[in-house]
Amino acid sequence: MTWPKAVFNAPLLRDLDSQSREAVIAAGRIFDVARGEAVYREDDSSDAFYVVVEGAVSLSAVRRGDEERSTVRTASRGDTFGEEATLPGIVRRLGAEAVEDARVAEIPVAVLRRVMGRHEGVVVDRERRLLERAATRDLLGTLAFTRDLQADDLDLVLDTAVFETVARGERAYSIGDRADGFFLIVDGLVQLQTEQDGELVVRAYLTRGDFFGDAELLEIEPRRVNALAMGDCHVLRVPADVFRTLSDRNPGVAQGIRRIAVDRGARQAKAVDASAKLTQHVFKDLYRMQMARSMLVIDQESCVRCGHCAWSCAEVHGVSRLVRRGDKILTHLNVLEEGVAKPSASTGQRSLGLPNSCQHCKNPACMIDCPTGAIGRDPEGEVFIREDLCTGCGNCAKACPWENIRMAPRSGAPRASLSQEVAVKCDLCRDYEAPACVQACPTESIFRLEPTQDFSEVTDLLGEPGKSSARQVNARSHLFVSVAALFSVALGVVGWVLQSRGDWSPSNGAGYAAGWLGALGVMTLSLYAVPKRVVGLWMKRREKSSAVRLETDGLAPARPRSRVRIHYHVHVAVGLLAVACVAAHAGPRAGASIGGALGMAFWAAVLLGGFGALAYRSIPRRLARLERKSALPEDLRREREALFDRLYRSSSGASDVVKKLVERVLVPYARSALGPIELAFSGRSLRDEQARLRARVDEMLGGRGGEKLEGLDELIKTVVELRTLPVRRVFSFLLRGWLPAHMILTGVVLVLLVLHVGAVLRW
Amino acid sequence: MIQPTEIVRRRSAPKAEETSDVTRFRGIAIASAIGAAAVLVAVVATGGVVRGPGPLSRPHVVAKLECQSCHEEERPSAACGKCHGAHTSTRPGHRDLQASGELECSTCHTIHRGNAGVAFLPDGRIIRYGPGVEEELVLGTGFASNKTVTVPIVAASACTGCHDLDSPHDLAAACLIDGQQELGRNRPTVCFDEHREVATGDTERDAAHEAARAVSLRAPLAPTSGGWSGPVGWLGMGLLASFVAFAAQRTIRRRKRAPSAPTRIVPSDVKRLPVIDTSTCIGCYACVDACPYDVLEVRRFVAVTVKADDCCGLTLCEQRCPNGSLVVTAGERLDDRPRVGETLESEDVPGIYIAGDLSGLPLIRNAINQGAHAVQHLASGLGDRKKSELDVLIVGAGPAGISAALEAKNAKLRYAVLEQGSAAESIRSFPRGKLVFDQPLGMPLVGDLWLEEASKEELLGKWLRIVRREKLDIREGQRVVAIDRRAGGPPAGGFVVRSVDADGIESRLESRRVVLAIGRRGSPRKLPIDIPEVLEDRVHYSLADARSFAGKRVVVVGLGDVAMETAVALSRQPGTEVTVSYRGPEFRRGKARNVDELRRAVAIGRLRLVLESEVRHLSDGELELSTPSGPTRVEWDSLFVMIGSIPPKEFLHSIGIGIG
Repeated sequence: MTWPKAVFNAPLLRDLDSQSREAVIAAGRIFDVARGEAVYREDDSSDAFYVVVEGAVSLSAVRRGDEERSTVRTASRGDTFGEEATLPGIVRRLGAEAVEDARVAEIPVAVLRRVMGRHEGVVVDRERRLLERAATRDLLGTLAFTRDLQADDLDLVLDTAVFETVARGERAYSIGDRADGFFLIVDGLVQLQTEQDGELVVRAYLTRGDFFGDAELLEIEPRRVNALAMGDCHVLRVPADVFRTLSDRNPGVAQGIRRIAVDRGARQAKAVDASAKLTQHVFKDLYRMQMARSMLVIDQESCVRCGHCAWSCAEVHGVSRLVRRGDKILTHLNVLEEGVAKPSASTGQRSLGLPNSCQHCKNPACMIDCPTGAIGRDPEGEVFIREDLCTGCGNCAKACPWENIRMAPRSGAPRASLSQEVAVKCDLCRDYEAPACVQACPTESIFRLEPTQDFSEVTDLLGEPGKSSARQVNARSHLFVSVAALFSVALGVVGWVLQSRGDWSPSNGAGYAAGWLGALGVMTLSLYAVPKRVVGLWMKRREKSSAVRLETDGLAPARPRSRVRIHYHVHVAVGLLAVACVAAHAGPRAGASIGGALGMAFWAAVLLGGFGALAYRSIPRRLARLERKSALPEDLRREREALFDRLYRSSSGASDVVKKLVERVLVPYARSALGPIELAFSGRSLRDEQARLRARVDEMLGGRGGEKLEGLDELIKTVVELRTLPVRRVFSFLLRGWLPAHMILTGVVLVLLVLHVGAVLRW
Repeated sequence: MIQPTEIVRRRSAPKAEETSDVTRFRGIAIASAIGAAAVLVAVVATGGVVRGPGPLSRPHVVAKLECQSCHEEERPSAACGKCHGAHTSTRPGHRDLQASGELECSTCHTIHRGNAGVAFLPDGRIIRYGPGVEEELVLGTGFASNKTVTVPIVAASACTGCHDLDSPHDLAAACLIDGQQELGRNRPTVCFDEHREVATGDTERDAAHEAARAVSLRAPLAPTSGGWSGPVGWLGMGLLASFVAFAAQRTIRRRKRAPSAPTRIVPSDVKRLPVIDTSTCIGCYACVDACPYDVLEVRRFVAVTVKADDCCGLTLCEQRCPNGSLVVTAGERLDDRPRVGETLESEDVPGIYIAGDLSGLPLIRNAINQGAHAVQHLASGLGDRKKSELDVLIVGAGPAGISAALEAKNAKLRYAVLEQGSAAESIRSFPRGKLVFDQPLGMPLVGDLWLEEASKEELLGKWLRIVRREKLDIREGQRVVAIDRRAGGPPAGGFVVRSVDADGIESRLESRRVVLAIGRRGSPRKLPIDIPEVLEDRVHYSLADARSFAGKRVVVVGLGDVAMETAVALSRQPGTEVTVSYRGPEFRRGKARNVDELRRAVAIGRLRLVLESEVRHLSDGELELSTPSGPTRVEWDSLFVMIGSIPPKEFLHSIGIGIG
């Protein structure tokens, strides 16, 4: 296929040789857009830029500081647009819409970059500068104040502005530095800090589209704040003198900028204040929150740790792409109240576990690092791996900051040209209607959220309030379980008494009927295994992507809900009814017959099941209080040694006072046998316990020690964790240990039931 | 204050893992089925199924009745008369009903389900029995007989088909005992005149009825529970079977797990170099990350060899390359390492195995693997073992030596370790807090010695704990001076190893095999200049704790990994001035991470790097460096000479092992 010459007349492509042009044509496409139709929208993820072959396309955005959408520029025949895709972030800042019927050529940026990367020399540099300049122009266009700039002012900015990268944890500048520029954040997250009494205080969090560093420029003062990059940050720096020249020529500009910054400061003040005090606060890894588009979270206060999510993932994909292990955060979730997102009042602060599962970053490090382009992204932002393109090099798995990509054995026949491994990660079960893990959860504790919309603290800081698609977490409907329980108690007690008085007999009348109902109940109970284990029953193949459905049917995608939870509730309710029926059927009888054995097995299974149901209700909340991270049972087994190692390691550099404290107080505290039991029943959280231990140590010292106590808090944290460890192990055993026995007894009950029924019918 | 947690790009890709979440129910279905089957088998085998509708009453059991005894008849009740004789009721109503067939013996004496009564034994014991259960009563009735007398006690529920027991006008009410109302239909009936007139003159029978009445008063309910052994046994069998099935499956699965890929243990004896096909290389960093020595780099989307001299020839890069673009080629022969076979046995002196750095691969993980590998191999070739000599003597207690000792202990060999310093001396000599990198990645660990990325102190602590826990026989302070063949040497004979301790006292050990794990450090290479005796204690060859050099002016000679780590550690001390002098014009070897750190330290002015320089002269206050632009003088307090070490060539030659 050949492309119109006009495409390669665009300044960016003019110097490509024929081989490179072929590569571009192979990867790109040409298509028509009708008047009024969008080429792409704001916030779309996109990896391509465009050349207008015919017609015209306008670029528009709600400029920072404006309320209304306005046109930034119009690209006509031969012009390029969408160069911002070459900037880090890969999210559209502007929307593009055809103002008349148009034909455009789409060129994937990755291809262009690779084509240019393999050629050396001036051409490449010139083109890279052109791309950058075009992208910068559009980027500046999204800021309200640039509208007032004259063309030559804008050119001045474009000529002098430089792209810079600040690595995670490094500073763009520090307090006291010479103020050398005005910064616009292209992508990333920046924390502004000041110093107060020798301590650092967070003043603001800035993200894509925000700017900083203007305050000191006009007064020509040294920097008053630190600007720290929370993640890898890409910034555009406008040199100080250029900025001053601009503000001399356009006095309104500087004021406009100041006003936006002050507004933002006021809006953030409260949220920022709260953040400093909690170690599990959602801001601890704010970079991750800002980056995530669809983050898998587990409500630790209702999760029963059954691991069914991971199991069903493995069932669908062969290898589980979800490992229930990771950090824990405390946050309020937004709910929609009369169309406005607000922090949920009813659920309060939740502890959410963040398991190892892809969070579909807005700017995925894995995708950028993939050498073969095997990692792709849907327009909705779902990041997925094309297995046949994956060479198994592992680059993405190394790049993912949160270990959410894993290398798994490749299925199918081995091929010489491909490694035996393949990268796997969560793709939101994109071949199906909804993810397996979310649908499989028996307590509806696992779900996908977008932190910048759903976590109220993050929304306050970075999100766009009102945009939230928030949900009620765990709206409980235990009604029919409660009804079943009441009915069960009534029937059970009456039946039991009548049976023991001999008024009812198992062999006739109501007692006999109860027997049959009980048998039916037992069969129904064992059927619970079907929805639970046969994932294929409720995993529906996807026919249309949600975007297509939105356009064709006008239906917004519904939040995936648990499919198993209802079955779990039915199971519990039927279990209660079956108990009543069996009590009414057999009463306190226990004979030497098959019926007696059946009774024993049934009651044993019921006791275990009842214990399990109670454990499911009461333990998770207590367990969540004692966890710093979410962990698997097998991790807990190894944890003790690791924690003691940490304790001794961090005490090795400490002062004598601290060492003595470790030896006399902390180690005995950690080794105490009864302490964990007391802690389990006390209802104290990790933080309470730390404060309590610290108070005990302080009382013991009576004000001595002073600054020699450095490092003590870290040690206290470790020993408190050591103390919670036995409790966590026992709790997780109580949550998980009964189930295998329950299942085995069910098998026994079924066999005995068949024998019993057979015996009754025969005699 | 919330600081961002550091995120570093990993050098190894995490593997998919099978967590307990996924595996916890594996085998439960089968175990459950087997358990159920076991219950079925147990029930059938113990006759639970043929036992029929319920246990017979005690007198029938005593009489050894079988099913046919009654069920031969069309109506089983007709059989009752065979033993009990004509047995009509004394009550006309009952008699009429019986005649019409509406009432049978089993209507009241529900022989399989509810039949209960009391038996007075000749020895004076009183047994209250229920269906399949009996219970001895302790109460005096005054009744005695020289044969067993049984009185059935029928529960009121037998009458409720016709009678209304709650009505005082009903005739049956007279058969009940007052005060037992709360027992409902389980109340015993005490009209023992059902089948014969009262006071017929059979006084023993009448006395038995009176005694039964007393029993009904004191123990109104027949025992119902009991006979647990059958059901408990069945369930027990089932649960045991499922447990065994479950455990067996786990074991089988564990055994089946594929053994990890064989590790290349032996360094190549020819120079090897990765060659990259740039037309197919996709620039994925797999080889770069696999290389423990940073030989490779990616430039312009293609991997290139940048430090060819450091290539270890282990082909880890080749293994990791996803599409075969990288091939490790063989080059010229290397002769600076002892010649060993695939089993690490020396080709010069059979019976001596060489493990660790000495073999030419300076990696902790490799040393551990080689130590274990050598012992594994030599254990299989020992043949007859005598009590009088050791099976293996391990020289050196570094990573390879400790690993070898662990393996020897596991294989139940008689072994000893001779160490001239103390255990894990090489780790001790690392600078304080040094991070021990655990590379190459993806290389499996052979043997039991622990190794993960850790600080020096952590690693040392762990290892010493292992040595203590396993009670490894490590004899410290023993310097080996000679190893001689004995009785013709291996395979049948062995070696005599002579060593001296710190006091110069010589000792002698006989051993069938020897593992040489003495490392390459031997003695540090010294500067080719004269160092005045007074200055000698200011010249160091290793750094233990950088803190003791705070505020000093320090010169480091060399630019290898050790030198770079030392220089960086020193430059972090307050007030320390560090100068690094290096012969070459640029960084030639060393880990990229160290090079980066050193560069950063230079960039921010914490450290001065003088390339193409050599120390010419030392005096009390100053040392003279020769540089391309002429000699420079540097003020110094301490000098670190870190230009490598001389391998223990002479010692090896004395044993007969050629090197270099």
